[in-house]
Amino acid sequence: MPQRLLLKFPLVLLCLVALPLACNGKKLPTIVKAEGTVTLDGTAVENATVSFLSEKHPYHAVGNTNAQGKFVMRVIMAEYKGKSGALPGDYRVEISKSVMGDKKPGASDDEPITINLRNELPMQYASIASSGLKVTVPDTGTDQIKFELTSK
Amino acid sequence: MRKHVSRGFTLVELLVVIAIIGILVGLLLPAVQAAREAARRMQCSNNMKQQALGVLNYEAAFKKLPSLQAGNGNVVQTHQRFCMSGWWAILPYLESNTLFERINSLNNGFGLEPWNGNAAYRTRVPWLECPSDSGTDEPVNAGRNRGLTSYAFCVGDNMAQSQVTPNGVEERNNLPLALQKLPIINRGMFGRASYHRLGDVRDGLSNTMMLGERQRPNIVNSKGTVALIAADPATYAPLSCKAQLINGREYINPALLFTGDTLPGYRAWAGNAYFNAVSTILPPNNAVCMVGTGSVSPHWFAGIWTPTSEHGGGVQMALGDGSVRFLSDGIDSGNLGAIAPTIAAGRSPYGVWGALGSRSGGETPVDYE
Repeated sequence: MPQRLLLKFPLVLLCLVALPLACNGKKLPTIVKAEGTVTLDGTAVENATVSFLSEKHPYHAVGNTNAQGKFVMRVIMAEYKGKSGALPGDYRVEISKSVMGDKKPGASDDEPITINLRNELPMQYASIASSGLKVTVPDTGTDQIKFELTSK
Repeated sequence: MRKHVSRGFTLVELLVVIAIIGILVGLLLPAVQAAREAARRMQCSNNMKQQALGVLNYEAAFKKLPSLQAGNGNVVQTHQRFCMSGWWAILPYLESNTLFERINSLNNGFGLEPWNGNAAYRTRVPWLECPSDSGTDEPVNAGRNRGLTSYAFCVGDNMAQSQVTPNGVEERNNLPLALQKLPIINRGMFGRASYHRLGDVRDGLSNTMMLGERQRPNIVNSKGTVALIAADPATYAPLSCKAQLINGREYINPALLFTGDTLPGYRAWAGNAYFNAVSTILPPNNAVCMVGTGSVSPHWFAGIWTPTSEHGGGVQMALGDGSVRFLSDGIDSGNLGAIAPTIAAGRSPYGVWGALGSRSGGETPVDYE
């Protein structure tokens, strides 16, 4: 019957459209919870940037600390759409806190300004070359990562 | 009794037809959007082709390439502050001689600093604006608008800066130093007071990048804006700059974004690397970072000037021979944990991407498309 046929047609069309759409996404590596805290001489550090840099894969992760020194890592790859978590595995870590100091305007309005840019954490932690910090994110994820920095 | 014959459509049939039309329109709409962006990209690449021809015409006239940063005066004192951009230099070769003359006649022919807000410096030139970039007002303060640009000169795979800083002394605070107007040698085709000859491009003109895209951000926290990193350029790994940009679009720490003065793309006539240089350290569409510590004027310091665009998946570049290519974000970028080189020649640590930028790296040409 023609009416039945008409009803079946959109169903077939829908399947044709939906199937490729559903199978389109490439599989991304699974990420797990990666959270923790940063302290300097025992006090929580706010607004520090924590980077987990991997030598094995491009899925580096980065996080920012809140007032309690707590950070939540996120994978930097755009495919993860900013979802929180990191790939399990070993990373080298760098932590820094860039602060823009007072602006000093130039002689006239048009003159470029000068700012006092400084890292409020000890400089050695700002680079993987000197930080000596390492972390292993377990397969099950963790929220207990601790970075206890010391100023000397 | 006559049997009733239905002639019109039933409700179900009507709904089915509407559903089918809906699905078809849904399929078509993204294609229309893509076609519009493709058209913008085409115009964008056409602009770049013009600029490349302008640079090569300049070369034909002077037997050397234009400098990234030139002009009269010095960076401390008045006039053009030795800080006019390469765009300014090639104006006469792109049928814009009137603007060139007008800029040079400012201040009774002595010239004005390129950040000055006069009408000549606010002039917008169509071939410097990529239609994919929508921003026309500086996102923080529209009063800072100068000539707009979406393009930049390639300085190679080193951290280019716009003033010399021997032993931490800023040229901008030191008149004797500024008077020397020292060149800053970059590993690419352009640098401050560096007028390279085409023969200096040892890697070959068709293997070396001349121009790239630096998109003009239309909101503050987007790719294309510059993050200020308190670190020493001599020990800074580009990987850590790369980690600043999350989901390909936003910076992880908006507090680091420099909004105290003009953003890139809004000052076409200033030769600062911050505004008009592109480096081949981080692959396209990654974070842009200025790196330095202490009392810094961010427009003048060293940085990783990553090319970015709104084309999706890559940026366009012009090679030394004047051809324009599309570069994928996925281009091989070698070891991003390596410190950026500081000597003029030698291999790049940043793979095919770094090799494209360096004019004398000695790398063999590789297929990157």
